[in-house]
Amino acid sequence: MKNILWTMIMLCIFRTASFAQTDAQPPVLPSEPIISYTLFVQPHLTCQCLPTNPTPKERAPIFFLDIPISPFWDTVGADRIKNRTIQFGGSATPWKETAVFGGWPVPRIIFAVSDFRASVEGGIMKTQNASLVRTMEQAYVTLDGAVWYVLVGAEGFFGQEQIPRATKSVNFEADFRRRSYGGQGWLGIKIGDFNRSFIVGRYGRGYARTEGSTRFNVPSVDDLDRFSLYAEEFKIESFSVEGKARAKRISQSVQFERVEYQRVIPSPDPLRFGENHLQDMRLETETEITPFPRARLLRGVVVLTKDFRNQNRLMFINDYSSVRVFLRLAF
Amino acid sequence: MFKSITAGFFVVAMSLVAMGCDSLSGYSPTSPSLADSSGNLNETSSIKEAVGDVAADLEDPKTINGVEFATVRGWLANIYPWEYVPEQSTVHPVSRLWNPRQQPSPFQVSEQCRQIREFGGGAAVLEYSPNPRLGWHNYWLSTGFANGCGPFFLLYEHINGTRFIPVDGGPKDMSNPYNRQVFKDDIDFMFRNVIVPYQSRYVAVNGRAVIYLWSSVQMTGDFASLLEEVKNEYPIFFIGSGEMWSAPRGAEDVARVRALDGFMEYTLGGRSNYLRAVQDYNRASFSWRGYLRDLETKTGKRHLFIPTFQAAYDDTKIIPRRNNPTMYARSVDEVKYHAEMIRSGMGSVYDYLIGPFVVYGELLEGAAVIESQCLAATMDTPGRFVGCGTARLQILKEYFGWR
Repeated sequence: MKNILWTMIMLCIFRTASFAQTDAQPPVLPSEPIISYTLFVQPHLTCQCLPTNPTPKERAPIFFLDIPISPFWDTVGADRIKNRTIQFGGSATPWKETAVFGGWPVPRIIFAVSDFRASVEGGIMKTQNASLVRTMEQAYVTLDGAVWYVLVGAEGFFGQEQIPRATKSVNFEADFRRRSYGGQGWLGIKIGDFNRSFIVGRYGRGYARTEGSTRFNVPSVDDLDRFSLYAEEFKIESFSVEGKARAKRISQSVQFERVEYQRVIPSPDPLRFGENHLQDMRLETETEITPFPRARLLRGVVVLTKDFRNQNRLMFINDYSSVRVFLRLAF
Repeated sequence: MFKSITAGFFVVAMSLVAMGCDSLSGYSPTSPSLADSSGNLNETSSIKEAVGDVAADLEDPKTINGVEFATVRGWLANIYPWEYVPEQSTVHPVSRLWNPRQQPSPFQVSEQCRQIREFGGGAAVLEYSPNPRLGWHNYWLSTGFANGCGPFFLLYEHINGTRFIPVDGGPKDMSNPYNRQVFKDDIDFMFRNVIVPYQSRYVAVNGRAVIYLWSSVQMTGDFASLLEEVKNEYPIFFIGSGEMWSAPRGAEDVARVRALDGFMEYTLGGRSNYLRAVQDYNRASFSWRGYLRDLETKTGKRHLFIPTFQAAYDDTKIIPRRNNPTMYARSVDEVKYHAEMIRSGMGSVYDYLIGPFVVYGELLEGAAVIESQCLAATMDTPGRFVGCGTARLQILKEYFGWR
């Protein structure tokens, strides 16, 4: 709770500071009047004013295409694949491994207007220098819509990772594949505009399923079946606070998120089936810089993530490493 | 302790006076002379046995200080007191291990044990019936209960040649009071005459002696309450079979599964396609593990789950004909694939490092892995791997010979 309050306070302070620095153009009011904004922003109202543009440029919809530049991704370690304990989550032995992925990037598209935003990211990637060749395919969709201060949203994901020759037993090697999907819906409150500056708080619930399977490679035997190694379902419960402040050449967002994963079929023994209750807690900051005022199309984005738990979401899909850099094309 | 010993001697003394020494040889079913009552033992040995039996009667052990299952390393070899009938067999053991129309001699059992251990076997499973008409108890006594094999436990023959109704084959209604009493008597006999006297070699789980029911699914009716009654009286760990192919639905089936303590298939069944059979077995095992996990969550009881390895299935020579399809692997790699799947599932689907169960010497159904003669009918041919000689044993040693 202290973390949440601290985050909200920091967001407010940051917002105030960034507005104070932007004197080139008057800041634009959000679509809904907010007390905290009106305290700091004095609109220029003179009698010589021409009729103002009812839809200033900054209020226009934003459309970003983010192309990842950093190739580092967090994924589960090879030992966990060999031990068949991915579904245990990060509660037992160390399990995270950072791999360098290449090939097709996983781009992100963001569209936002004042009361709606959508984010879609996904793609196919392959490890370049890891001991195991991993092919990752994943997609992630988030939708948020607000009416008045009430926020309603949903997200969904699908992830698949294939690792040929992941394990070697006595005579034969075996391929590994894991597949996950899930989603959640949430309710919350929103203050501000998604395409400008805002603060949202969300409480969500959802479901996720993950399953791992293997197939042996026996040279003289064709058409072998794929066999399940594990199949787990989780109920998801999440709480998050996110805020974003946007100025002329820089924007900053901070998000704190806490996610609880509860096994649908409880585990009777943590040592054999994993813990019943897993948790993620992370703080993520995103800084967007527009380095060339005359070419606002090109921007750079740096995302920093700090995990306070074991990054249990790796049970489902691979995740960006703690530092990631995007080239952003803003339309 | 002192009181028990004193009481033991007192009862022995009274028994000797009351019964007379001659009657003691018939009293002890641990004696090979039980069936014949030949009375060829001298008086001294009879007294010794009587003392042992009476002492056992005075204090039924609450736990069996045997060999804990978790410490058994290697596959589990099912061995048999049956005769080898060449006309009805599809596996033909070498004469060093078994002679035609005979049960294995004590020496041959010893040789079988030596081979089992040589190829990585960890324990023997003795096909056993307490039915005195069969004489199997005396047979196993003559072999020292396969003392060359080391750790062992009993496969309780509860379907064929029993004292249940019906006697041979088919499901037994265990709500029937007569059948219930037979079951209790059989367990009592096995406990007093095999488990307790041989407990130093007997396989146990947490001090409870393992008894394997090779087709518990055929014990219908209220078998669950009977299992619980017996387990309250004796430290027994019942392993069932035939249960995993579908989730139990009826109340009696669910109760029986809950009352059993572990599961281990006797056979993968007779199908025409070996690869299909082993893959279906693997898939069913995964589902069964999920069922057991759910059960454990609800009841708090952990069930043991042990895999089964099967090299082939061919019962085409059994008379009367069964009309089951024969099942042979197309290549040795298919059998290795089966072993590979079992091994990779041990510790997740199956319990860690226990098993697999292997039919070592049932010659009638073609699954036996015993060293066999390479005859025209049992040689490998293109598209048909039989594995005569020790080929099947070599696979077991390669995959499960932990020792």
